[in-house]
Amino acid sequence: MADGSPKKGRSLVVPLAGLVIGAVLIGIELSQGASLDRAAGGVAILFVYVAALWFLQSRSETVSTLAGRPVDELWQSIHERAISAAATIAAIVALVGFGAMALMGRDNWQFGLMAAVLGAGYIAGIVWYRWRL
Amino acid sequence: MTSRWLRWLLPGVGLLVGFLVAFLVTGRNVSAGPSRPASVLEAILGMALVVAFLLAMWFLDGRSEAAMRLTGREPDERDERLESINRRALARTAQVMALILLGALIVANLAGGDTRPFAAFGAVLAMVYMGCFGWYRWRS
Repeated sequence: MADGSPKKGRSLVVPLAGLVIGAVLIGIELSQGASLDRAAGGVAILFVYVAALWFLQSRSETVSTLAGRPVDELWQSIHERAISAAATIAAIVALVGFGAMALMGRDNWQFGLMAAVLGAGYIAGIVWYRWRL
Repeated sequence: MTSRWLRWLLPGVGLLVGFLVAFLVTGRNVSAGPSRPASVLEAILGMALVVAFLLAMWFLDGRSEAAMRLTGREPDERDERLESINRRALARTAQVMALILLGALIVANLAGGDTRPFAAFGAVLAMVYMGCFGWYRWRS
């Protein structure tokens, strides 16, 4: 299957990843002495999202794409354009956050780390796909 | 907007960012207390990274399609292959970013550190993705 084409059999990846992430976050909360209610409440939105993906993906092309299984090239393109825009905005937020935190005299290494990851990831991606395509 | 003007845009903005990084790094160290011996070195390093990237792009500009893409300039002829490369690189970057954010959030939580920057950044990433997803779905 060519890279970028719709992939079948991956419909469980995003819901299962969400469940695992939620379980890990609950585990962390519990290990720090939080009650079960509070720990579960913190990831309730995540579990609702995962449940929606699980039950609705076979009925909706939109949900199927969000669950990691675009039904055709159009949906694959929509997903890639949306996530590309998210990366671009994230880079701007990281740079602005880095500068703003520095001006306020607060710790800004988190924003620096994110900007570095985005920059290095993008350059590596360009080189990789330039070489492969 | 002329291509000549665009050619000078990147070096101009880049140098500005470089000076800003140097200024911010120095300012942070001074505001944190007595100036540390490494503050000037850090400022120079911060600016050198930006300038080195700029110089690399400057020399490769016109010779490398990838360099033109990295500087935000369109190649002379609109190339769907380059568009695809750019989009895929950005998409994978965002996916890697999401994983790193999740890891950082968990590590910071376990270490008792400040998780808010990572949580806020992850929220921005997710909301922009969902917003753009809806936008492109509506426009398609």
